[in-house]
Amino acid sequence: MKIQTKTGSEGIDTILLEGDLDFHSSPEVRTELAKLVDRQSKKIVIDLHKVSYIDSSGLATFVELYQKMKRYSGKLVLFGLSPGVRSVFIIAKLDAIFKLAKDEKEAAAFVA
Amino acid sequence: MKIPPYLTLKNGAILLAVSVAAAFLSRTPPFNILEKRLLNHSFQIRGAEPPHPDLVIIEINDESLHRVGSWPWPRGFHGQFLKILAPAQAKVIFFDMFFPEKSNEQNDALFAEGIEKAGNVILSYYFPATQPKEMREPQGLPIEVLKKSAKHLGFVNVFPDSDGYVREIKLKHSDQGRTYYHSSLVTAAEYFGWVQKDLQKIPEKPFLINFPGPYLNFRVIPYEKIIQAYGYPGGKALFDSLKGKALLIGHTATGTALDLKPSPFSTHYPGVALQASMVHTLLTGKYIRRLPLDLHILMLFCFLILILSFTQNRKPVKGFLFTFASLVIAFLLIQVCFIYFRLWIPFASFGIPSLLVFLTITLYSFVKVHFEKELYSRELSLATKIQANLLRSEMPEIPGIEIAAVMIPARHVGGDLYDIITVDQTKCGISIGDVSGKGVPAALFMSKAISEFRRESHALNPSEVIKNLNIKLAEGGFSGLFITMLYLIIDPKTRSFVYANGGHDPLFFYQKSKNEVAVLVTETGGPLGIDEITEFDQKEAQAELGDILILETDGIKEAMNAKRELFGLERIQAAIIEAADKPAAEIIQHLQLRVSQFVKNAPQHDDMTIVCAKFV
Repeated sequence: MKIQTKTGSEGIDTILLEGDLDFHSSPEVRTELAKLVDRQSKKIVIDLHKVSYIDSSGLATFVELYQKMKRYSGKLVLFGLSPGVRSVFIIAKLDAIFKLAKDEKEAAAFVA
Repeated sequence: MKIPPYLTLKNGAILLAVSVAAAFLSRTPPFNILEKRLLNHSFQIRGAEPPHPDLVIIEINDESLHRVGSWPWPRGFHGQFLKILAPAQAKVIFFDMFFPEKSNEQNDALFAEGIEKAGNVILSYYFPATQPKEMREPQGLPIEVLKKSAKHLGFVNVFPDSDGYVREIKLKHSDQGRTYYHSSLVTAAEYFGWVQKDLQKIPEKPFLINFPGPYLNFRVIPYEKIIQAYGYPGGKALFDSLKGKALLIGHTATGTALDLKPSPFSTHYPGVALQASMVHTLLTGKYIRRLPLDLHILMLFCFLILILSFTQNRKPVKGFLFTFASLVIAFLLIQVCFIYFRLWIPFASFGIPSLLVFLTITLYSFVKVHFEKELYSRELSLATKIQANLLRSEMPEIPGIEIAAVMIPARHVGGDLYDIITVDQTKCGISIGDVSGKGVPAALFMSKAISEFRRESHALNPSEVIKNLNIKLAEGGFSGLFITMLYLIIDPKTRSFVYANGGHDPLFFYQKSKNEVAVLVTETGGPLGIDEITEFDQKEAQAELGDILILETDGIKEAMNAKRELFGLERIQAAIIEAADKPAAEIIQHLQLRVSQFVKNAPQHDDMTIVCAKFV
């Protein structure tokens, strides 16, 4: 799993994930995300357009991030979900919890 | 540059230790012989190269014995030979044979005279020794009269390696204050006109022979050809061609050449050719150098890191292919170094440790994966037990509704749960849920969910129960776990029901009057345990006698067949209609049957849970 973190203007942390987000790669992603939470990043945008597969441990990683960010009123948005990845979110009914944006622009607008 | 995670200090230390050990081992038996065997191949791959142009072997072969007569020849004959050869003005003449005993005086005198006249003849002796450290008293020294007339003497010992091959020669030997020189060194020294000071610089350690090729690669002239050429007009060219040459005279005849020894180019390499090969090495200055120890360790260390980096976290076949490919490339590079730089890099010291590193990594990851699997399956069976203990085994008896439930856990427990309770004495509450994640954490989260649900279920509104449960679960922590739940309260007296949905599959409602199944959903609600502020609404509906309510988990809806098709909502609806006139338990059985007919032999991915309530 490739993880790229960049901090853009207006304090938006964008994380680009590349590869399958599963049982094996989730701990690595979790560690990276924990770093952002530790410094209380208020705006986190996750770019999933290079993620082709996600399993329950991948979902749990985002739920955990959501729960942690909620404590300090951070905003989390995911974008670039492939139809397959989106369907996993829908099956788990997590579309009711997470903000799933169409593209980076919409995502940035949401956290702004 | 980012340091890769496998390159820990510990791994580095291990690889360094392996490199040091391999470099040392390649210099000690039995591995040194393995390396030397590979050196044979390096010679063969390189092939023959031109010997030093001033090097000539004069052989006493079968033909010579046939023409001149059986050995030993009268020494006067050699004296004659040297006289004949004198005008050719060879630079040095070396006799690779011994003259330790007197023959008849006249013959000895003739030979001595020839030697004296030539003024550049080197005679041989030997040490009765099988290895250098046994070299004590020289033997086979020429008789006094010959010794006096010879320019120099040299010992001819060559010590084969333990596999019988000769690859090295000790050029100098000191013992009890005396220094002895090997015949090939003496020959080369005479050729170059070296003085004592030059010889002192030669180290005592054995020198690797740079074999130029097989025996016949040398310029070889039979002894008797030279005698025949004498006096013939055509012979002049032959004598002219010997001017300034180093002549090595030795036996190659079948009966007399007892010192045939294996060498990289032939298993029957004459002793005189060994001498010639060493002289060639000295004359050309093309010494073969062995890779120095420190550089050897460094190269090994880098190579092993390369092997580690490519076999780490790779499938055994890929890892093996890479290791194999690396070794092939290393082998080729080693040959290039040998051919172009005469640098001998021991290949086995790379091959054996790389295979060891590959095997260790493969074995380690195999054991690790096996161990983790074992641990995981133990954890799962523990989780299954927890899950089973939490579920109600007895159904409450509530007049007016018939209830049945079934749960089929998947091999990897998925975390389904259901609960059937009595609410407000006459009503029936049915919940069904699915915990995200697997294993013990999910099972513990489920037990929390069930106990919190039972505590909250005193409330009469499903939406309130779900909402309170969500708050309880969400404040619990950041485990990343969550649960979907559908909660339904049925009043059998009025045949009405109220439901709220926390991100779970919809409620299936069969109406007998219409003979169709409606899919009942709510407006709001997501999974429980993530966010306290999630909103949940509830809906109410009216049923009649014979109507059926079905709650299921996504193990049913998303049951998958071999073609990766999902069972889906429509098939659930159809199955319910087919069995609608049967009791609740049989409706469930029928739905299960339809699912198993659909998936056939495909493995079950998730728990399958069905609860059926029928108005009777």
